[in-house]
Amino acid sequence: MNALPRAHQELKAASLLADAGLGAAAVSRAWKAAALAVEAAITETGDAKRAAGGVAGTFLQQVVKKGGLDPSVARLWRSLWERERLADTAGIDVSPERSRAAVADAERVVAATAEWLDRKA
Amino acid sequence: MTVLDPAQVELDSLCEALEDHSDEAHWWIDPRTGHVGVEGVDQDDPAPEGALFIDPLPSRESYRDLEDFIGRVRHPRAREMLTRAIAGRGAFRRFKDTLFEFPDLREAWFRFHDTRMERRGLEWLADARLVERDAAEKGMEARPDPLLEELAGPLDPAMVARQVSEDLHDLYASRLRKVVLCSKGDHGDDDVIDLCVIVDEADPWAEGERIDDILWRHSYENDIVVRAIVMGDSAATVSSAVYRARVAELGEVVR
Repeated sequence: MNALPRAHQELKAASLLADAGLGAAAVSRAWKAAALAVEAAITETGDAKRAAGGVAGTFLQQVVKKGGLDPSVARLWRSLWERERLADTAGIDVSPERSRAAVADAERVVAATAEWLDRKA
Repeated sequence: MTVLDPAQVELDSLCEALEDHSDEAHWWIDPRTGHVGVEGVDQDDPAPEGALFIDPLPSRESYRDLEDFIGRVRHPRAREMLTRAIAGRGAFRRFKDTLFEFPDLREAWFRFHDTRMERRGLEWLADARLVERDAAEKGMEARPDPLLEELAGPLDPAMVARQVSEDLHDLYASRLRKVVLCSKGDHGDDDVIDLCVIVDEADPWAEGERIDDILWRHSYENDIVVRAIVMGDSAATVSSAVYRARVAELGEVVR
């Protein structure tokens, strides 16, 4: 399965986890969904990843700055990565509101990236 | 007055005119043809009747280009030398001299500078009503700042961390106790810089939202991801003792 359908699956999982009150797990899955969407976008840029070095550099250079993806989407992606670090690595409690907000932000990243991929197709 | 097509105007010469602060040169443009000439230098080109004389733009605009360009340079040594070069009087000369040490950057600078000047030239033409405002704006839109591959280079995570910490200091002032660089960007895979920010008291989630703008700006400018956990001085805000210990053990204090 390629990255975008997996991103949608992760979104569903994140939503279920948030509804079940499992905040940290929901944030983690929300981040995973956004990361998969970004992976799908990077794949679209061909071998650019190798040229640019890392995921962040490739995404920001090739997809956002050159490719025209709305920078506010990349901003949410960065923020989700940070929230995942708070929830997972630092083990800081996540409120239900914050876990739902993370899921909503991940939905926006996945939807906007899917639209971007459609435009490129 | 005839309105010119922007393509008719000698834009290169107009750009040169807009940057020429010498006393001897008097640049002009012929509003009927778009020809740009200069009086009073070795190759004297007298202004025809009806020519419009061109005043140079304030040098602070060109100075801003220097700052913006340096902001895009990732190579730590080049960035530091260029930053030093533009401090004080003689900034433009020192900047250009410094670029001789970095031929790739020099080429990149010319492309960056020329694009910016062309946009200013088009703006000037619209302000002088020599071209239609819409046509000038279309021309400006077609000239975004170029993406400069030459500016890529090894990123200095400590330098980025210090820059972020300056902004955090502006935000938190005396509340800021310490900024620790926990991991340095790994360019083999993910280019990520992780910081731990210690303030007197903090809800890490709320503070994360508060500093989102700062972290995003530095991420976007450097084509990396800068993450930061803001922790209160008391251990109670972070449940993971392991994480706290790791920060203390492995981190490099940048502020």
